Amino acid sequence: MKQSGHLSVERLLKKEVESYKDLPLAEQIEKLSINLETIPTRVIVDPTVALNIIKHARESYPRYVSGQILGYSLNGVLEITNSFYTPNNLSDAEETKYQLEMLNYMQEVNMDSNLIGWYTSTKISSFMQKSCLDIQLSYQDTPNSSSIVLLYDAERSELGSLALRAYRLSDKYLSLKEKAQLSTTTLISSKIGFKDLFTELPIYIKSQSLTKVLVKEVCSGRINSNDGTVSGDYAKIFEAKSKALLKNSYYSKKNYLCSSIKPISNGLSDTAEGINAQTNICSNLAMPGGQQTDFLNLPNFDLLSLQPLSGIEKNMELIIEGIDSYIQDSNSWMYWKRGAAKELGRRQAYVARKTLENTNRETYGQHPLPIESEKELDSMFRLQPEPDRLDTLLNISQLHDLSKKVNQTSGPGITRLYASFAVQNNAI
Amino acid sequence: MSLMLNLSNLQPTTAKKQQNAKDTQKVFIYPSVMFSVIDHYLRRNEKQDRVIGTLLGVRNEVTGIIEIKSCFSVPHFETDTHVEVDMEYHRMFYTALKKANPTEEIVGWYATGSEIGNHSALIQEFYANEAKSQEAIHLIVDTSLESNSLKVQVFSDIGFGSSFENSIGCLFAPVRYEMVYPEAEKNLLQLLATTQKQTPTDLISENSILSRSQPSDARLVSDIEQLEEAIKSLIEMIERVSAYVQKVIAGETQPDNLVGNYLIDMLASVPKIDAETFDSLFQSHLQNLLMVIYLSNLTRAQVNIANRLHHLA
Repeated sequence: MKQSGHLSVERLLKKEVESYKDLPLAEQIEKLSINLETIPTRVIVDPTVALNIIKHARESYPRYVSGQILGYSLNGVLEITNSFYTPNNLSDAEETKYQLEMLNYMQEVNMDSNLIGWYTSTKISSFMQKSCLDIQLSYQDTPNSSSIVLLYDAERSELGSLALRAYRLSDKYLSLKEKAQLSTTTLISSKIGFKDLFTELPIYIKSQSLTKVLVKEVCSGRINSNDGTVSGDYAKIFEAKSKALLKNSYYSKKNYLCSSIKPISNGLSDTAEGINAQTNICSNLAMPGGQQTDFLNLPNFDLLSLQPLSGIEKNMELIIEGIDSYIQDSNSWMYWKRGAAKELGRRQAYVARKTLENTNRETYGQHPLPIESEKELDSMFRLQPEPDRLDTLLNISQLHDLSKKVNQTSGPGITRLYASFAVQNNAI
Repeated sequence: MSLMLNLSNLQPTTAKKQQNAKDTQKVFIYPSVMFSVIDHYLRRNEKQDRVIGTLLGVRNEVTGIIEIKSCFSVPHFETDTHVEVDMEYHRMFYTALKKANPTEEIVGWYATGSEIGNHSALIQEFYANEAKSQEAIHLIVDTSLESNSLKVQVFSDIGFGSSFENSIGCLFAPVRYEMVYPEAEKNLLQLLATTQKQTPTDLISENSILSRSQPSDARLVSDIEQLEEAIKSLIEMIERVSAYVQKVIAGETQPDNLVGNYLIDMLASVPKIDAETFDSLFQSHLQNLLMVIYLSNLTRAQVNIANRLHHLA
């Protein structure tokens, strides 16, 4: 039970150091620095952090929120152990001050006070925006920075699986960051594609021994209420709940494909719990959540509901929007290209005319006219700046993501459809 | 005469008692609170037996329901004879948190352990002051597993009504509580629970920390994987039920009216649609979906072409 987060790191470091003890000092240092500075390849999130982000995002939904994440990076694994909210409407200076203040407080109670990135709640399919890119750039600006951004989609998470993603800017993009704008030439020479802007890192949720105990306890329904009725005496609860159920069930709005009959062989006690978990009878009786203690033992049956398809419609709309703005982008680029070509043609014509005139003058023995330098020519024929190609790139990237998402949601949709088909056919 | 006096003395205390008892009817606890408490306990200082902290949440004064939404740890130091709580830290941190999250107020405090600690009355007094003269609640989580489980207890204090100057009278009365699991949190916990089931006995060994590949770390799964799980267990349940029904029919098991009721209820929950209507509904729905998939694939193909075109010199 003593395997606490910071203790294990400490021990780990000690062990690492010991294993290098026989090596020469220079090599030792090198090895250690490699360990500490490798770019993370995966992310481990403490459930506390995940829960905090979920809570933060839900409470201010539909407004998007953001906050800081704390932790450490070791051996290419980024472990996020803590987080805090960032207040809205603060100036930059105030925000920095707030962060430092919070970090101090965290340190005092042995929390990791190492800023390793930020989180934001957004629609995951629409996070690819210049602003997001810029903020992440400021985090990853220092060499060897292991900062990441955690994205959380509150809408999707309420519907089905937990939508939490971790992203970093790719090295390819970082190498381009000096240039204020992305022009066609750099685009070609760097070979940067829409897939190369961000790198996604796989996320794992860490469970420590004690949190495992907590989850077990929650599963078993033992953590519930200390008014004595629930702690163990299943027979009584069963009776009470089944009575309530029978009263409610015929009118129950939530008709899943099946109500739970899972645990008949496990004895009646579980039946009550199982049914309780699914038909939510208690949510009719109790205040915010209802006593759904047993849900953890069962897979998420909400997924079987035919409802979540409504998300597709929204995504399709977004795709249409994306296509529109893509066309707009390409039109404006074509316009620029045409304008540039015209300007270039005029410039070449001017130079040609001038050289012709000069050769003519030479044949007549006159002094040639002074030829403008490149610079002067540039100022005479001003080329319009090229529109930023980064926007296009982001747009494409978003489109790609969206269409992928639509596929991902419609796949289960078809499965569900066939499941209901099977149920109907058997019922008839 | 003296009797009269006594009565008038008694009245205010009883009045206060009643008011207090009415105050907190029930406490709802959000899962992040529990996880934070455990995290704090794991990060305690060496030789420290218990940790305490402040509970933040929302109080509904009309219904007497408190929702504990978050918490933060407060450094403290205690020996057998005295206790020090870093009140400065508590106040500063609270003000800082308040900036980012203005809705939550101090509703009480938590401590770890299996029962109410030695100095709890003193700390309770402090928090009762902090909670804006409202009643403060006290949450105890048995993180050291002394009672062989992660026992959670919630108390509210009842004024003792002792009029001696230096003694703090405080009776901790248990309060009903309930854990709350909103949808998204439920998903996360479910994920943790299912991974735990798959890898039941692995404790984090030194080696696995070193290699950073703990099998117990839950990986986020996709929608379709979850759906597969759900359907699998659904089929399993149906099989179990039909096995049970067969047994009852064969007379091997005693029939049970209640279970029979459930079964009828379940069968009735399948909506009755005639075959033709269902077929047309099914077909149109399926076609819609296939169309959507086709269009999105088309978009993806176009996007990929566009990407290639970008790189053509």
